[in-house]
Amino acid sequence: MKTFESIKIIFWKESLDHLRDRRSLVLSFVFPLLAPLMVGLLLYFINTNNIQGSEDFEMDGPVAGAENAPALMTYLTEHGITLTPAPVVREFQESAVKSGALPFILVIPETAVGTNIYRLEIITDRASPKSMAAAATVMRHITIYNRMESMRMVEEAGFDPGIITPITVTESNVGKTLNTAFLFYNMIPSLLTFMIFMGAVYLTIDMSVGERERGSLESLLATPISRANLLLGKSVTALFFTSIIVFINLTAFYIALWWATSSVDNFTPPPSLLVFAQLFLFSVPLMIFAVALQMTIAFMTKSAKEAQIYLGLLPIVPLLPGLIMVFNPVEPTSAVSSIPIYGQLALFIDLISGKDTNWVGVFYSVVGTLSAAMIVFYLASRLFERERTVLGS
Amino acid sequence: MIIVKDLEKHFGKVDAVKGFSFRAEDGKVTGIVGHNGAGKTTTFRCLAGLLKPDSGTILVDEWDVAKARIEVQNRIGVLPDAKGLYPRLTAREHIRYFAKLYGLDDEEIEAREQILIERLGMSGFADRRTKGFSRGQRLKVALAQALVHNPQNIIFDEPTNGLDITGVHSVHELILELKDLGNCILISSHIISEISKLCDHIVIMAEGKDVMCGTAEELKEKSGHGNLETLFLQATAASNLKVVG
Repeated sequence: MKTFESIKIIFWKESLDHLRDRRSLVLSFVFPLLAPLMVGLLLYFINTNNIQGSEDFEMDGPVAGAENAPALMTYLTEHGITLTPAPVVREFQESAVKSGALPFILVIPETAVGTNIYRLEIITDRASPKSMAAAATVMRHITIYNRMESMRMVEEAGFDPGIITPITVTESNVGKTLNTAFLFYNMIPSLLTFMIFMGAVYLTIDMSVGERERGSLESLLATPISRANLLLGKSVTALFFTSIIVFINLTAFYIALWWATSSVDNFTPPPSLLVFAQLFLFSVPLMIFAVALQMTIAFMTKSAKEAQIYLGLLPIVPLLPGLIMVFNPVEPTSAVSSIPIYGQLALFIDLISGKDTNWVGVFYSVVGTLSAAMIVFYLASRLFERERTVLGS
Repeated sequence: MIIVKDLEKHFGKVDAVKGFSFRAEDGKVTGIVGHNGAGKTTTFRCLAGLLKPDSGTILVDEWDVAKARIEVQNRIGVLPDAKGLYPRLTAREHIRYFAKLYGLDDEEIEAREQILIERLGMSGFADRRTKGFSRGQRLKVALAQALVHNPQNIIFDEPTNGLDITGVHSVHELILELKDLGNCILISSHIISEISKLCDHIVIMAEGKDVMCGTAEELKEKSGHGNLETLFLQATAASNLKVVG
């Protein structure tokens, strides 16, 4: 029988079998949504709770006794703080912040009237990230105002304002403005690699050791189909489902990130649709490598339980370099690019960072990963030929 | 026709089959009888091309399984000891899957599917998923898989294992029907009465080799008291003694 025909028959059967397995389907199609959902919700949480903070951030500023320090109030209003009235009774002030009705209250005492030197109080809830983030923003504005006032007073007294701030720093940023959101975008390569290695694990176990455990392998191997074609058919099925899972994963990331950041201007915009399309394309060789590796490990094990243990650990291996590379990116030289996983991670990180595609790196990663996949696939086919595969022991 | 000559198969230090020979003719039922662990299943696995013999020859319709595995597999139907099915596929889908693996075209598949479902009495459950099937129903599906390509040579490994009386009767009927059609039938069993009833030629296997063979009548004559069971026990005990000695 021709190879293509064999692959078609096995692919049809395995796909039908897999699509009817509710548990496996849930794992295949819900699992890839989890990481994007988590990252999206975290970003959304940061957004809605103003944890991000910024000098240009607009927010409400509940103040009690605003009339006592009009100059400070004018400064805060000019810097995006919308002053809102707050309770004047101490007991109500505390309960309003504690209940979360107000993120903080700035209390300006009557002693501030007519003087530049006074003490004010800010009531916060340290247990609430929202309260702390809002308070930090208003405190930053007050600190700057404080410095400006002290310099003005020193100058009025006939001294050099440099006495107060001897060194003034001006930053000139030549790169992109990065923020918290970008840290989340940088997680995509690792989570994507994890998904590539995790995606079709249960399907692979079911098609390999599962076949032996349910007693259907002998009948299958007694048919006039070569074992290499049988393995190829099963691998193509695993690859097909891995690619669907990765597609779902990336689509979910795209939607979740745009949803979480769409209403905020100060977040770095998430990667474009084109970047996500490139991420998918560049991960195809890694999917082939992952499937070959999964098949090899599955055929080395004696039982489905043993396969679950080893294949469950497999995604952690590529995750580790990925996590390291989030904080310590590796320059994608040709040698690094040709190493499976590393090569893709370097490319993924470049794409997420908005750098131009390194086509030489793409070439090396495709050639290196596909060569490694072929070697591992050959190993899997040798293992499949072993009598131990039929007998199980 | 199946010819096995001086078959040997070892697993590490264990001699599973050592110098086993027999001949199974077309239009006859040949039975291999032996204790558990005598080497019957290993022999059948070698015959089906699942295991490679260490030495010896296996010919199926003059094709050597060591040199032409695919040709041999096209000529045999195998009902293995482990009759595992895919729980999420229907009985009909099992038949179609194996028909395709045996290279049948759509028309042939349609025809064979019809014949087998009717002959094996599967109409009532042909379109049900096999999860939860009774032992008898499972056996019927496994039989349909093995016979879907209409093979000349059919190997049944412990075909009635675990079946009720009705199931056993149906299998016996099927085996005799296939014999009448001129097929070469090879069955293994440790049930002497079954072998005695069905087989034209019986091979007693012990410790991986053939210790006695002939028709049921010939073997009864050899035993001197007309009891095959006693003969089987004597033959296998003698072999054990030789091995120990």
